[in-house]
Amino acid sequence: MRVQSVCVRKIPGFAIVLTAALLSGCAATSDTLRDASEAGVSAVGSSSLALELHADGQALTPLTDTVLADAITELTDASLTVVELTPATASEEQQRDDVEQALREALDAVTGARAALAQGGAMSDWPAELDAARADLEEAAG
Amino acid sequence: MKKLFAVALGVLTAIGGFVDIGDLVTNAVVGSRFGMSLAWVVVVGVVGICLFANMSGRVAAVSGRATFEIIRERLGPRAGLANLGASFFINLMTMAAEIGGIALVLQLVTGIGPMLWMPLAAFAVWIVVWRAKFSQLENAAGLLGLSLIVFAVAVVMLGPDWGELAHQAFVPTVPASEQPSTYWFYAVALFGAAMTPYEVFFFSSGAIEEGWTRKDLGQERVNVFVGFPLGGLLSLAIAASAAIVLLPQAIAVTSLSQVVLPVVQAGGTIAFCFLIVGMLAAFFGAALETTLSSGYTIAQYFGWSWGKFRRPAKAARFHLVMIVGLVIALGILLTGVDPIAVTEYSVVFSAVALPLTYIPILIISNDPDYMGTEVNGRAVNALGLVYLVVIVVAAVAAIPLMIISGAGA
Repeated sequence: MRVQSVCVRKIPGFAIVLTAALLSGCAATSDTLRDASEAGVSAVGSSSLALELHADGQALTPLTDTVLADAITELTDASLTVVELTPATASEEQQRDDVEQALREALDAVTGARAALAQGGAMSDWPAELDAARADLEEAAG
Repeated sequence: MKKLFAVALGVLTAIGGFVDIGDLVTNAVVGSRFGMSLAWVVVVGVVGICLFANMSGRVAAVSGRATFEIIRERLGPRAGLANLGASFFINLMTMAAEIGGIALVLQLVTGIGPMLWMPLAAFAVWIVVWRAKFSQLENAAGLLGLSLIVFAVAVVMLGPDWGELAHQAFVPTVPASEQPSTYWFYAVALFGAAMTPYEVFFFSSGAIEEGWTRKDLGQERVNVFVGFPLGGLLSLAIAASAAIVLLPQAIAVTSLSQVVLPVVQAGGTIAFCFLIVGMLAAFFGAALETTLSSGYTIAQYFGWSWGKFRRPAKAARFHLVMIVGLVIALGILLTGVDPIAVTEYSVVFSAVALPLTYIPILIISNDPDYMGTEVNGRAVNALGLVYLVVIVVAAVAAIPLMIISGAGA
């Protein structure tokens, strides 16, 4: 009788803890995805600004290269964080895949721009690529 | 005329030497994420560092002894050791951050990765500490550091909406995209950056190195109460440049290369050159100060012979401590840790250690045995007590805020 009453009293507490854990898990996943997207937007934004200043003759090549290298590090870190997430629901999984895809496209754009800068190639196409990557990241972030 | 020149030089070096990598990075991060809404923290921090640096300098000038010597004597070895442990740990982290900062600046100019530059930067710091006179290293770094005024010039050239900047500063709010815990985490970090403990120990020991007496108290006050606030304005200019250019584009500063972009946008390659000179001088100067401070704190606590005014052979343990400190700082950096992350953690832990640094200074500056008639006045003590409350609150809140906000993520 005593055991039963203890169990009855414990169920609501356990349920509250479980619900809180699930909710915090959901919140943590969506927060992590939003943070990763924002980090991606920031990295792509600084890359775009550096390329724009370089095209205007204001930023020297080593500075532009360093901004792009730092952006690559930022995007790689954000991608790793997203890949390591374990979504609890199908919608979270979809959101994670969207953010991961957007980060990968952004990484491709920044890496490509950096390679073109190093090779002295044409830089005119890269701002548009970066703008598109930024738009995708903003959309993925919701 | 000679005295006027000395006062001007002191003020200029105080301005140029005010900003180090902690101030620069933290202000840029805050500007890019919160606009000018944390400008009030810079003001609170500058008033605090003026208050306590003045006390520390006065103790040295009146008693003829540096702060750490008196702390151990007046408060006993245990309290002295707690003070020493906290200060030395923070100082070591700051030293690593400054050397890493020098390497990052050189990367911006050459495109060569920072790992190559770190050993060279540490070696350069050691050779200057070993060979140069105290006044030479202090004046050269401080004067060249004035190049950071380019941040203020950039703010004007960018033609911002001054009304909007003033509104952000005078009606501070937490942006919708940020959590309140993150806002307060950066408030504590900014406060820690402005009141870094090594600044007062260096200031106090520097007074002994330069042979200050009661007669120099006037110059000491001018240096502190004119130089430091102007240095604080420089900090606000760094935040403003980021708020004008980076915040509207949702670029949150995570690297030194991003801090540079607003200045380059405003003034192109010429402004960039000034900025590089300013950052190199500021970080190199701060690396010298933290290296010397590591020697000062340990040597003064243990009662060893210390000071740049002595030949290295006459202060061997003082110089050995500095070499060991540099090796440890370099070792930290060569693990591959991001110098910007070291900087961010150093300013937060600096806030944690603030009470251990500033409570003893307040006690000693009220002791007539050391200070004679130059003890603190009532107004200074009242302000000092208000600041002790602020310092304790910041120290207690720092770690919980770091955990809750995910270190400001």
